[in-house]
Amino acid sequence: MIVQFDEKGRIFHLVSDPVHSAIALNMQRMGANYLDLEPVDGVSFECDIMRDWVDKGEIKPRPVFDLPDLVEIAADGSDSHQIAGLPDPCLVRIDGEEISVEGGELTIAADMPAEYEIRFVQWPYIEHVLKVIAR
Amino acid sequence: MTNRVLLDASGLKISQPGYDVFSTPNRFMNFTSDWAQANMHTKGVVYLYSGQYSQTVYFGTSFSTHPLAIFRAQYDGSADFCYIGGTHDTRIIIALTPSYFTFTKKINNTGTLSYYVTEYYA
Repeated sequence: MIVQFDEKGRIFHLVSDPVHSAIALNMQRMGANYLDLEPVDGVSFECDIMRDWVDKGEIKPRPVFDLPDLVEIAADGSDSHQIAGLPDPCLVRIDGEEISVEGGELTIAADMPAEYEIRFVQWPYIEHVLKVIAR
Repeated sequence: MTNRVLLDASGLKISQPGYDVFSTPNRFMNFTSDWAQANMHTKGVVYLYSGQYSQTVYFGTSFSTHPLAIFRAQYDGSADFCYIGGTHDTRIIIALTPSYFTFTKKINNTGTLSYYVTEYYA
């Protein structure tokens, strides 16, 4: 199996066994980032293109956010919900706008009833969607 | 009358009406036992993250024309589409050439493309 990845360790291409020799040669010639993993006793290496990443030349599972899926708060401007333990910095996307959260903590408050979707998209974490309902 | 059936040491060939089985290329065949020898050249999967729109996969060799290739595309892990050869639809483009294919998505969702490229070409 060939695992091709970018400079952040994001895996974007897997070539299944049996790998044609010309493919690895071509990647080498193009200077691509890749791992060429030979089958062991006829068994191919296991790699999940969406849930694994390459860190220091090794395939590892991507970490997951320890976050709830839903948070409900009162839409009175004073009630809030604190999220702690985030990686620092942590990239989040709210209504399509990206914000970098510093310090590992995020406080959610609202003064108008609405539903929000906060996407935690910090690499290499697996993306997490938090729904916020302010009533 | 055109010769349409050929049985020799290489196998069996049947050409389409009006095409001479001795000289016509495979794309004008109704059947050829060469199709049973469409060995796999490569197979795998390409993943486009949100914000990425295109990825090229090289075959490491150049066929004389487009190889027979089968693709399966998924968007956000839900919808599922299969294609034989390239495609150009409202969501994706698969541009198949003799030496590579390029997978392009027109939507900003994640996209997965499984592919199977044979060594067979017409």
